Amino acid sequence: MQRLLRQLAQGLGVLWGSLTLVFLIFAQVPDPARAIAGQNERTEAIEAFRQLHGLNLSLGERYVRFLGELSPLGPTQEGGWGLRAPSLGKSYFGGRPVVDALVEALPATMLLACAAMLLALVLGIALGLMLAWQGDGPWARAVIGVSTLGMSAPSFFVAILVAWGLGVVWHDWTGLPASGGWRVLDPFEGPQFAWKHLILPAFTLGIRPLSVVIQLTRNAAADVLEESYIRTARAKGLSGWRLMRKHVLRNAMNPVLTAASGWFASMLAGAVFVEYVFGWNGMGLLMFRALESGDLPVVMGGVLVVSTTFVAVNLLVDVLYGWLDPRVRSR
Amino acid sequence: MERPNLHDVKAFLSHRMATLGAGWILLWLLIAMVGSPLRPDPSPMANDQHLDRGLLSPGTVWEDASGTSHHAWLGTDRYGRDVLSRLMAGSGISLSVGAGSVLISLLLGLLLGGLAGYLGGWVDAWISWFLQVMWSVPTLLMVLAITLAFGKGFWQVFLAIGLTMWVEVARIVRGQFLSLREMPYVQAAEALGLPSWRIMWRHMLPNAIGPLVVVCAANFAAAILIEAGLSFLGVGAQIPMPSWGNIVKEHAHLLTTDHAWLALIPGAMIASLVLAFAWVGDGLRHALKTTSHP
Repeated sequence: MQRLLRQLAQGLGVLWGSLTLVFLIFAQVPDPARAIAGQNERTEAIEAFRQLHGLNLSLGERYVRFLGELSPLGPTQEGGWGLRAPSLGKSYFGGRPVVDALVEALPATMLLACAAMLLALVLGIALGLMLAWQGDGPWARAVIGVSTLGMSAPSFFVAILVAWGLGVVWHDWTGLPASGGWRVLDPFEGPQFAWKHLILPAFTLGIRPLSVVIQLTRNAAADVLEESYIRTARAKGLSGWRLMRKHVLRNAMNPVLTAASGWFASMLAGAVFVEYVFGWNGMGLLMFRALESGDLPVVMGGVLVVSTTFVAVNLLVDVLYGWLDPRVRSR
Repeated sequence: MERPNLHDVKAFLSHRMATLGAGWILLWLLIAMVGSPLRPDPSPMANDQHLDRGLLSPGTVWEDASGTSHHAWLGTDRYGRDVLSRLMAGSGISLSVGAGSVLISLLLGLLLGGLAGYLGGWVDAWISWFLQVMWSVPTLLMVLAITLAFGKGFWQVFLAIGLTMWVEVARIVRGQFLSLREMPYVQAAEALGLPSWRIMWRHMLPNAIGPLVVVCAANFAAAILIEAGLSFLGVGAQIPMPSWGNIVKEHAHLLTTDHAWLALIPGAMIASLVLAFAWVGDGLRHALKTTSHP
């Protein structure tokens, strides 16, 4: 319990730091008021724009306002104090609350990232274990080679290749579309979940983590297979799948889990490319469009969501660690 | 861990993939450094446009006004620019962004990681906190934010990538220094009254060099990937400056046509250079007997 509280406090400290860091970087962006509100050249319009987005305030005042709006505890709309939805300011174009736009886009990205992660973990662990079991051979070398290639290719390039190869050239064979969001409006049956649109982007996003999981699992499992308790288990007549599952898997999982937590957030970032290429309507596409138009609050909101997710996932993995490996708990 | 010596160089060269990778990197380094004299199109940014011979197929021969014939080995793009020349000019960007950001990351990472690992205590606590904070903002997004703050362009990308990649270096150096500090020879040096910076620089750093070199190879590759990604998003090197990333971007829409090679070749170039660095990293790890995750 004490360990959990300490981890929570540490997580909050890091979260506060990353929020401040992101705020400070974005505070350096030159005042966009004239460029955005400036088409009509009226001073009042520009002043109103500055007022609305707090650009007329000093850095300190903006920071206090930023943290105040972000805090989930504070004055509510009904008056009085209590829990409320954090605010991330308003979009420069049209003044829509950034939180609304992000909340609308987040499920698509989460769906994509989770599908990719699931694919990477399930396939990667299975392949990694298989390779460790078989030892060095032509198969092992081929899989390692392909997975090194998978780590080396830039994600936008892989996205283009997959969209082009599987979505266009071999479309007749795969039957998969090269672009589209996760919800489709069917003229007869209303909004439909389009799982077919998910496959290619999830596969693309999953290639890099898949490559890493394969190699990590293989190395970790190969190390575990050398241990004397494996020899004992073998001597007792345990073999094959049961040995791998009961003894090797659990002991080989720690490095994989640690690494996996790190990628989840970088996958949310990598989703920018994948969503852009596949036209997947998620946070990445939202951020990309905001970046092109210079809609700062939206970009900043996106960055904040990703780093908050990162801190949360890291915390979760830390806690999971203690659960998987009892030795950590006593430390 | 010992200092790299001739034996290590032999061990590195015995790693076939690593030698291959190193050769490929050196070739492109040469192309980038010699620059325009090597290129079929020697104009500063390989930006010599001839709309009348746009989209030639690879290997086509064309004649200029004086009747001399030229080979377009990799064909030409929409504006009639020689693709091979653009690729050769673009290699400089990838390599210099890689080298520059590795340099910046080494400077910052050595300083902060070294201080944290050597001094320990509250200095370590604060620097570790800062490392975790930097770690929690994904590099790509951090670089996007920094380029937004300081404007689009080549130099901003340079700085931004360097400013985000030092975290990995600092982590390694900190970890190494934490354990090296307990070594008898370091304690002996302390007892002799040597100044701290001298102990760190002359006695601890050389013993931490192995894992550091491996991380630098990985960082170099990562910087190339990020630069290419930024150029693809239109944030990095600005047109007409060629970079492998923006050449892919310019031609991505041609993939479904007969001119797909215009996007495929630069993409493959990026992948090949990153792969070369991955192999070199493997070779270094093998030669210096470093584990992949210290």
